[in-house]
Amino acid sequence: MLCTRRHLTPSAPGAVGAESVATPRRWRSRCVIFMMMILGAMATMLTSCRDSVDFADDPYGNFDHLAHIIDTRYCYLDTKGIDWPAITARYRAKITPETSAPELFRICGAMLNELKDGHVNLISRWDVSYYRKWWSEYPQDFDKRCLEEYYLKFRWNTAGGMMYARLGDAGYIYYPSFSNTVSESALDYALLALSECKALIIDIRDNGGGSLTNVGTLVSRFISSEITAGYISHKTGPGHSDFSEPYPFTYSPAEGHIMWHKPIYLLTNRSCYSAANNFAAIMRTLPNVILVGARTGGGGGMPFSSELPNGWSIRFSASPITDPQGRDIESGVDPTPGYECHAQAEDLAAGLDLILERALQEVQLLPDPSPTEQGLLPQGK
Amino acid sequence: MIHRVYTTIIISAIICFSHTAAADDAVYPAISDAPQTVAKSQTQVACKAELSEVMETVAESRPVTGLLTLSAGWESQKIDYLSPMRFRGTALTLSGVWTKVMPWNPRHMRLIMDASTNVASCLNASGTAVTTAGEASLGAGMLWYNTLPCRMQWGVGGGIDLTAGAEMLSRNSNNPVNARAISALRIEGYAAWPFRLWGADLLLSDRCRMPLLGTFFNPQYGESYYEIYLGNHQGLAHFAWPGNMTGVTNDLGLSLDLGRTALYLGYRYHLSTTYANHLYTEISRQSIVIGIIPHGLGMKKKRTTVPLTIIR
Repeated sequence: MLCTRRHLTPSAPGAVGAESVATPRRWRSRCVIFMMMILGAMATMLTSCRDSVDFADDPYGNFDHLAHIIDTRYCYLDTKGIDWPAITARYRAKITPETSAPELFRICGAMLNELKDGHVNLISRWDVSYYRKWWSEYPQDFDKRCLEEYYLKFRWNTAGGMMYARLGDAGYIYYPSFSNTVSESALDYALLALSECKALIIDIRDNGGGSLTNVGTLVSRFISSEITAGYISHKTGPGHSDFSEPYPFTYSPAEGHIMWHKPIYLLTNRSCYSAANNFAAIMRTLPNVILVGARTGGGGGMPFSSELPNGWSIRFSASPITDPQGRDIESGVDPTPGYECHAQAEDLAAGLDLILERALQEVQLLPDPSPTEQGLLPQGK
Repeated sequence: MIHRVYTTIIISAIICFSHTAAADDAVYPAISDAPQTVAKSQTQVACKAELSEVMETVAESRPVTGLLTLSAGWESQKIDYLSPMRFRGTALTLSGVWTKVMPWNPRHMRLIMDASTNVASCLNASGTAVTTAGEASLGAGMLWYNTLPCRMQWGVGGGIDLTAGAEMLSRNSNNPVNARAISALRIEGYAAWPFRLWGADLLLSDRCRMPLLGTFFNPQYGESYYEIYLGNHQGLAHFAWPGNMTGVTNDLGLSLDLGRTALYLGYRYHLSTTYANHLYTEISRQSIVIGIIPHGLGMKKKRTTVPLTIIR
């Protein structure tokens, strides 16, 4: 294949004539080539040594593979004090070779619920297992209809997945999901429209999370210098405590955009999860931010996906993220001391949102900003 | 895997110890059919003179020989970052190899350049997820080669390979893409047997390349690319040695020299594995290769001109 033109000539002396064919040199050359091929084959063999254990596509194989994935990849087994081998042994006893797929799914889903993690899902073609108790056992503290009807009076602006409006002296932003992409221009318009307000109320109640990118976009409007937003570490081995050194990730002020340095009240409830939980953890550390409402639902782990031999997908927390002080936020973020409050269902039905009311009261108590203390600063260009 | 290794060994043995005997007798009939009364020493002297002339010509012109191939085959992926399961599917590769002799030693040294692009689509065993993959690689190396009395040409060499690729599994949440990047020093071996069969000029060749040392990119499990974008570059680059990176690319082919061009038909086995951060990545590919060598191999021309001139 690589022969260059004119290089296939019998180049060496002695190549001519039939008498030169059967010589020991031929055997030597064949041995050289043979050894080269053997080396190639050995390289192939080396790779097989790294091959992981294969699990069969049967009830036991799928169950064992699921247990193995959680055992080696899930990041909160030690933090939550979970005895995973005992749990798997208990649920494995419920399986027989005749266990049907739906029944196996139910058993596996129940086992995964022992992790008490809203980021853990087992996904089949017909169902998704989901741990709901992180919010279902707590008051909701929020009713969107109440907000829209009695406070916003069905008049609000929408930009970048956010609803915003003026509520007296307060600027109000409702952000229902971090899956909604927040554009810089939308934020500029919203903050500019609310610039004359004494304070900003950011409502993330019932925000179940989404993309961390949007967390950075929002936070960068409320800081005046680079901040450490938290720490993240990763599994480096199969052991429950095999983690890399925590890496501090930082956010910088949004150069060239409208910034908000006036007071901020962040409204939270138990249904704030994942990226919303992360946002609350970062905002809590800013000096001009007060968290009002209820403890967030948690979800501090970065979820990753894997799969089982039968094709079911498994999603689970793979990398723990902490707040800027290095504290674990998997179990949620508390409101600022003295600002915990709840909105009862009967009050919400009557048009009274006590969490929002508390924030509005706080805004009313704020002094009017002096002409030199605007707090709304265009940064950079 | 083990079966494949044993099969390779057995086939290698068969090729090495039996097939070449037939090739030796078939190539260059003008020489081997020459009367035995021709003095061996005279022939050798003539050969040397002709060879020197050829080498001088080659050293001056240094023609570039290219092999352009299209291969289609089967790919197997096992990428722990995406999934612990193995994915299997089809792959299509477009590649080229270009060689050029070195002016200071045209008889033994050759520059080799490689380039290839590959696309693949694979399915998991249960048929519930699909990966889409793309890969590109560039290589450059030097080969020292020699021609044995039995007219077999063989060579060894080394070089550098740069490979970049990505596999996408869209149903994953924060790990939908696995990016790969490898830069490695390689060793390679090469052998070729020219022979005639039913009046056709053929060249059976085998080229085997193996990465030896280098670096490769491998994030930690749970490390998203957004985080890397934010600046976490810890533990991404790994020193590669045979303990954590193995691989082989073997091209076994048969070329049919048609004079102004040559056709190439072959089999390629490609394997690349890395292991770091408790993450194993394996890409293996078996493909049937067809290709052309634009200016041929020069076998036809050589057979009709050189030996007759020498014998006279």
